[in-house]
Amino acid sequence: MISISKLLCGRSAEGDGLRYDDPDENYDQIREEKQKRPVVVWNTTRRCNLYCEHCYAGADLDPAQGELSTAEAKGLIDDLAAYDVPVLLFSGGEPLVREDLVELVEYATDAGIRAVLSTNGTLITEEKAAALRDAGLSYAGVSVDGLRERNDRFRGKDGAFDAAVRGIENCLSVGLKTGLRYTITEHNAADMEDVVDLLYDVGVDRFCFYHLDYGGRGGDIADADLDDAAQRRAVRRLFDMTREYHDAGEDIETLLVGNYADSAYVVEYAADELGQEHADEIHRYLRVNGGDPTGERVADVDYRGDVHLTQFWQSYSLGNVRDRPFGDIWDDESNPLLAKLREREEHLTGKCVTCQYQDVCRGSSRLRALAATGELFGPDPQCYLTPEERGVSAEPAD
Amino acid sequence: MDRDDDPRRKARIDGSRQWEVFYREQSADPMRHVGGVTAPSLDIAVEQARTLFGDDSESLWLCPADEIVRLGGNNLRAPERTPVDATGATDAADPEVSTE
Ligand code: SF4
Repeated sequence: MISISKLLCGRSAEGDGLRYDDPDENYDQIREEKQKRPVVVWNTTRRCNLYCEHCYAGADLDPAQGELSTAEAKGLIDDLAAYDVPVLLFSGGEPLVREDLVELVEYATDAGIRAVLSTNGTLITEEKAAALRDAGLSYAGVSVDGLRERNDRFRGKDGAFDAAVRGIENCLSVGLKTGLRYTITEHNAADMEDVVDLLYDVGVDRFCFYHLDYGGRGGDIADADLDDAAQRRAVRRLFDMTREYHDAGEDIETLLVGNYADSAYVVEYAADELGQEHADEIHRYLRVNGGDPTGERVADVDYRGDVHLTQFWQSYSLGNVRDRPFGDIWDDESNPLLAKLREREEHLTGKCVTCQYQDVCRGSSRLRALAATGELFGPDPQCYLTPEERGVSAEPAD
Repeated sequence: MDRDDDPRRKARIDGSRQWEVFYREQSADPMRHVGGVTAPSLDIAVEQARTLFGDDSESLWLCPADEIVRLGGNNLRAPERTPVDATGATDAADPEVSTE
């Protein structure tokens, strides 16, 4: 997660605790010390009331067998608390279809874990928002993926856009911090700015943009991913837009997730637009905790208790929390895949080897590399940096 | 956990199946469990396991996850589990964890 507003405009806003670099509320957003424990994404259920094209969890409406029961979920939360997990992201499917959601949020916060929510927003009534707030929920990230027509097509349901905006309004009206989650694809890149403007008017001031990862149904629509030029345009537009808002005295928070070539690009952008000193400072910040967090600063537990390297990589699991406590699975570096990922710099191939930004990117997504090249340590197809930006004079053969 | 009760013995609803993967680096090593792959067919599961572990392995075994009988392990529903509060203190009187 790269905080663009912080890096470019010095904004240190309250967030959802999902920055992989600092789980604490009283922090400067980017800290000088490495995060020790992962933020855990928990796919509480596979059920969902929508059917989105890009869903990494492959969710649908049928009840899934093997979902953790309320008692098992509490056992899991106990294990996570014992392992000092700082943040638990209740995700799905759609977590609000679980009737025990409020109870589990409360259980997590009582155990000292910061609870945050990722939701499609369509089921958040004002009463539900108040109950979640009272249970100690810190933040709700609501997914909207385009203006009304495009979003509804993408999400497989008419009225999904209006229902999500109502959900956002309900959160805001009870004082529950909320923000946008937006997955950028070829189909919706053009709507990005209008969605920000529209939701800013509603009262949202936090906007989180995800690059497409190639897991679940996201893999089926990899063709809808942006090409290099379009990636650059979308990311640059977000940089410019963030500065325009701040210049107008409107302190929005903007974040980018899922493509750590963005870390390199924000340094390049700062050098061009804000001067070398500012760019060097950004580079120094990102070095501490930057780069792809897979298998280190982020973990995923799915609805059946399988532990994954990130929420997007559902096709491989390290183990199951019904077999071993989460911490034992996560610490077991006798698993050669886990061990190699944690020292990935030694294994990366192709253009990442000589890239001057490897320290803040770490080769970006291994999952996309695997999907695109069949090689775990091959190049991420979403890297849009030019050879000059990477600090090499010519393109090596990948 | 009772064999027929074990949720991991039930098929995944998306039609995919999970295979547990076992690996050893050298013939003198014991086979070691290194997680599981989920795939719509055995061929794809084998391909995935080879991609993730093949380079390092002398031998790879795949076993359908729903064919494994698991005894013991981490019983998340264990009645002796007690909730922790923010200070790490426990409350043994809370009945919620011993129900279900
Ligand atoms: S070349 Fe590799 S390390 Fe460099 S920015 Fe691209 S993906 Fe990241």
